[in-house]
Order: sequence, then C-alpha cells, then structure tokens
Amino acid sequence: MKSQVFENFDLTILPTIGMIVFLVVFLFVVIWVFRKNSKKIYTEMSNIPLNEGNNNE
Amino acid sequence: MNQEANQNLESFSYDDKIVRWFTYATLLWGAVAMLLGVTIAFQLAYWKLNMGLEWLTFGRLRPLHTNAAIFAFVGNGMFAGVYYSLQRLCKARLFNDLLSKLHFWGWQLIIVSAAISLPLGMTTGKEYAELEWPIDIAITVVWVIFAVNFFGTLIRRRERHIYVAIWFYIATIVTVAVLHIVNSISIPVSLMKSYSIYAGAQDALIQWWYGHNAVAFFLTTPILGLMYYFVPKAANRPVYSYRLSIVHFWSLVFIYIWAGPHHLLYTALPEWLQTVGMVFSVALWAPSWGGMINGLLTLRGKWSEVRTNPVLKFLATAVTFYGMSTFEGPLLSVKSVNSVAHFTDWVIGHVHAGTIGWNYMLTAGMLYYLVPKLWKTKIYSIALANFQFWTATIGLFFYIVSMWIAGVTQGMMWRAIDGETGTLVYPNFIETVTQIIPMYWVRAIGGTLVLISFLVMIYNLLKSIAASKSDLKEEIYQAPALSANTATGHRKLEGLPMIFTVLVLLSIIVGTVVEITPTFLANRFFVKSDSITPYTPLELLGRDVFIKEGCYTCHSQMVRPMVSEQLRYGKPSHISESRYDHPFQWGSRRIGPDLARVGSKYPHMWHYRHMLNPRHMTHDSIMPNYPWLARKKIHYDVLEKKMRVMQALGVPYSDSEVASSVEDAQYQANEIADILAQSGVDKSVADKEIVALISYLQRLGSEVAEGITDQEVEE
Repeated sequence: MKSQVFENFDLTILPTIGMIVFLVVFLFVVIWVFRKNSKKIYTEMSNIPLNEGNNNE
Repeated sequence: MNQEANQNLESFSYDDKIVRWFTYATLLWGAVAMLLGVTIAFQLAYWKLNMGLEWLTFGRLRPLHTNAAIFAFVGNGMFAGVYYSLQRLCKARLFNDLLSKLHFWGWQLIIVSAAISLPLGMTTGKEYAELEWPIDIAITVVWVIFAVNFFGTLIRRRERHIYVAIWFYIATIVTVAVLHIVNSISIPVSLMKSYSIYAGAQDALIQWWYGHNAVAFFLTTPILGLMYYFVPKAANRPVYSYRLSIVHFWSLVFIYIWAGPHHLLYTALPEWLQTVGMVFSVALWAPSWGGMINGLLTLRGKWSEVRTNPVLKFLATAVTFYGMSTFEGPLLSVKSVNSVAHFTDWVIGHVHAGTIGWNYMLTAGMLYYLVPKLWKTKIYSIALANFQFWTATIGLFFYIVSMWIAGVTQGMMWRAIDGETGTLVYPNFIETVTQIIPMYWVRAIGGTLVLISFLVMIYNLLKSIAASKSDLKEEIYQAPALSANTATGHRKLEGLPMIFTVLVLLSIIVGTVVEITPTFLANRFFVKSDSITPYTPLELLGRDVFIKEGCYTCHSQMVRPMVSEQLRYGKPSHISESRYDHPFQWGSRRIGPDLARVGSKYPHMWHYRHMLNPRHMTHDSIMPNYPWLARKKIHYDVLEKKMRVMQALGVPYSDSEVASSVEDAQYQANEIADILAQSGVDKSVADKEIVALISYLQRLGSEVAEGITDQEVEE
C-alpha cells in the first residue's frame, strides 16, 4: 500500500541525479589527484606532520 | 631562499595546557561512559540491578551511556587530538586562549547537565539526541566557539598547505553543526520539555539522517583526521599515499550522508529510498577501506615496532577495527541481512566494534603518544599498556561474539514459521529473550574487561604524569611567516579554508536533499486523510511518560511488512499512523516486543499489574518494576501548554479541545480508574501516571490506517 502511495511522487529522479553528481565528483577527484606535477606537492604536504617548526631550545 | 626565510622567521608557542585539560577530561568521562555501559549490560542480564530506583533504570541510563560515550569520551578525546595536531599542522598557536577555555568548560558543563537531566527523565526521546532544548542551545554555542577558535587558528597558519587531517576536522565542524541544529529544532513546553517540530516518518528520516551521521561525523571523520596525523607521527614517516587520502576524504564526505535510510529498512519508508540507502551504504565500503589500507600501509616495515610500541599497537588495532566495522556496516544494510539483524543485538555488537575497537583503541594510542609529549615524561609501564591492550581486545571479542550469537539467534527465532501449520514457532516473545540471557552475561563480562582495561590506562597515564619533573613551560618554536612571502599570500590563506568549507557543505547538502525531500512531500499528501485522530489529552500525557521512562530503548513501534511480524504483531505499520507523533517512537531495538499494535490487546488491569511487576504477567520477563508510576501524580498543570504546542505543530486540536483538555483528561482517567477499581485497585489511582500510560498503550495501533484505501491513493 505505501509503495503505491509513493509511486505517486515521481521522485526517482532525485537519487538518479545524486548518483550522477557523485560519480562526476568522484571521477574528477581521481583525475585531479593524478594531475601533472602533483607528486611534488603531495610529497611536500604529506611531510607536514613530521615538521613541527624549528624548536630553538 | 633560505636567507629570505630566515628574515621572516616568527617565534610562537603552542597552547598545550588546553590539550592537557582535554586529556584529563577524556580519561574521566571515558571511565564514566564505560561504567554506565557495564551497569546497563548487567541490568539486561539481571533485571533487579536498577536497585528499584527510577533514576537507574535501563530506559534512563542507556541514553546517558550513549551520550557519555559519544560526546563526553570521544568528544573530549577528539578535542584534545584536534587542538594538539591543528597547532602543529598550522605552526600556529590556537587562535584565542580564552575561547579554548570557554570551549573546555562549556563542554564539561554540557556533559554534567546531561548526566543530571537524563537520569531524571528529561529527554526528547530521540536517540543520540535526547538532550533537552536548553542543553541543545548550549551545545550549539560551544560548537560555534570551537569553530571560531579552529578557523581563527587556520587563518593564522604559517604553513601554506592544509594537511588532509585538517580537512577531516573541517568536515566534522561543518556537518555536526548542520546535523545538530536541524535535528534538534523543537518547540519548548517548559524549561526541560519540548516537542520536535517533525513528526512520524519525517521525524524518523531526519532523526536517522542525524543518527547515522553523528556516527559518521563525530565518531569517524574527526578520528580519521587524528589517524592521518598520529599514525605518521608515531611511525615517523609520511602517510602511505596522500592521493588516496584525498579520494578517501571526498568519497566519504559525499557518500556518508546518504546512508541514513538504511536504519529504516523495512519500515514504512518508500521502497526506492530504502534501496538508495542500501546502495550507498554498500558503496561506503570502498572509501572506508581505502582509508584503512592507507593507515595500515603507513606502518609497512614497522611491524616489529607495532609489537613493542604501545602507541603503534593501539593505532594499528584501531585501524583494523575501523576496517572491520566498515565492512560489517554495509553488510548489515543489505536488505536481506537487515531483515534478520534489525532490532536485534547484532547491531549493538556492530556499534561497539566501532566505538570500542576504533574509537577507544585510537584514543588509547593517541593518549600514549600525547601524555609523554605533553608532560615531558615517559610511559610509566609498557607492561601495563600491554596488559590493557589484551584485556580490552579480549573483552571486545567477548562483546562482539556474544552479540552476534544473540542477534542472529533472536532474529531467526522471531521469524521462524512452522511450515505445516503456518504459525510462529516461538509465538511467545519471552522465549526469544530467555534464549539469549546467557549471551547478556557474556557481553556484560566482556564489557567489564573493557572497563578494567580503561582503568588500567588511567592508572598508567596518571603514574606517567606524576613522574614528570618538568615545569611544563611552553617552548618557543620558529617558522617563517607565510603572509610576508607574497603580496597576495594572506588573502589566499584566508580564502582557502573558506572555499573548502563551502565545498564540504555542498557535498553534504546533495545527500541531504535526496534523503529528506520526499518526506516533506509525503506529509503534505497525508494531510488529506483524516482516518487517524490525534491523541486525547490523557494519551498525550501518557505518551510523555513513555518517552520519559525511555521505553523506546527496549520497545519498537514499527511492525515491518513481513509474514512473521504480521503473525506476531498484526497489520504492518502504516506511515500515516505516526503522523501526529512528535517525536516518532519507532525505536531501534526490541529487547521487549513491539508495541505498535499493543492497544486493546490486554485489559487495563493486565497493564497495571505488568507495570508494577512484569513477572506477574510474563514469568521470565527481564523488564524492571515500575512501582513509582502508581505513586507519581499526573502533571495536569502543563497539559494545556502541551496541547497548544501540538496545535502549533499542526496537530488538529480545536481551541475548545485545548481549553477543556484538563477536564477531558481527568474524565478519561476516571473511566480507566473505574475499570481498574472493579479488580480491586484503589480509586486514588485516577490521578497517577500509570493511568495516563495505560491510556496511551491502549490506544496504540487501535486506529489502523483504514481511511487510506488503494482507491484514494490512486486519485
């Protein structure tokens, strides 16, 4: 019964859009992280925790 | 380059005092949360352990346990770790010392007020969001203080890049704020009583959108941020793949928010929305394991150290449990698995694999790293740390395994149908309870081991701190100022976190819109049907007793559309039946039977005797006695106000109904008392809470949504 109620709302478009948006974002991020010259930046960034600033004591 | 950098060198120090405070708070509240957990675990095994006191009943302590574990223990641990790592990742002192102090004391005050109000029965009745509106406002204020302090530090940073750990912290701050505010909106009736503005299915969706993401963005993302900081620190090498961490972050933030509906599988939600929730819950598996692999591979070649170094040992175990529970989670959200596991202890076991295996273990690893740094001391005893590790691991093993067995056993018993007669094999719910009582004992013992392990850590760390000889003077660090490097540098520094925050906000909003829009439309649709009448004034008061006693912690009000449920409870629940329920009370666990169709099933006298001593009616019941319900008077003084608030929320009470509400309620109470008096109960019961509760229980499910026929639907 309730599924019939909800069939009145043609809302499957919502999750469909959501899924497409997510796929696009995901693919974009994956391509983005492999962009040219990214290795140098990422090496630099991944070392941030290991460098706390110069302790002058 | 070097010369230029030296010219701009700035001196600064880190505020570690606040981190030390949060460390102490973590130890204190961790012990409290686990003690509460052990208490309620034993109460399930042996019902008398509430000592006959209303403040110590399972229904009131269980919300306190969950709130203490999530917001007090993990919360304080998270703040300690975030404040420690943020300063070092930014090479900047926290934005404002006063804000840090306000944050600390504000948060402790919230915890204390929760510890007082929840046992007193002041609750909204929404799981993990039980705190009443003044405390909710305080949480919002303290969270804003935290955010200002956080972003202020970020803007003043001396490090160009924002390390991935900080991304996770930002996602936490933004999302928790959105979740908390949206879910907690309510209209106050009195200082410690309010009604959620959402009702029924809509409330359920928003509540579990909140509930699941409280797990995601309070217990997971900030802790992942801590993992991305403390694992490289402890292993003294950078994270395995920074690229993977970026993909991990965006997928997680994007997908997590969608997964709420998996808490409502087989309830009165539309099919497609359940499927979306399920698909995304499964999809969550991928980014979660990306993160786990990233954490573990950071330790590659360091495994010999993992055996000897308690910090690495706890961290590696935490990451492993993160992997395990993020595998189990998607599994549980698969519909066919969920149909067995939902409402059972399997879910409880899953949650504890996360909170003990992931949160506790990671917090322990972090504290063993932090305490020697913060107090300039050494770990008092590595042997004790190892003892703690094994006690906790074995305790957790007992916990998870006993809950698996209990959950699957009870789930299978509920659904067992005799193939020949077509009737339930275990028609008496209590049979499925007594069957798993031994597992409740095993769980309680496992939990006790975890508590003991935590106490050992407190002892070990306090001994370490006591051995500190240093005066804990703040050290001066130096780093080049960033803003001086380029003319536009400073502007960029301020801009980056802003853009980032907006992107995070957009990611979580996409999922939110998809998840929540349909119920708003659905509610509009159901207003057409008038087959469900609002609660009578007395029933409304009884419902508040139901909420106050935390009945929803053990009893669901949701008959799922499955043959076995229909045989046991009656017609499946319909979405319109709870349309006036502010808040909804569908529940998440059936320690006792479902109550959605309990109305008119038993006479008044059955309920009366059952409340005084459930064993009078069901011999082996594990429900505690509620004698105070027959002693405490009904609070008629706030009734009119309650009715008016309900009216404001869209419940169709007429003004005259509101005006005569007290009179009507007393009339109905007298009717019930008369019937009880025929069985020898004293007439003075008429103004006691038990009568209101009986009126509410007798009403449940009596109005099956018959008004909505298939024809109407097709209009």
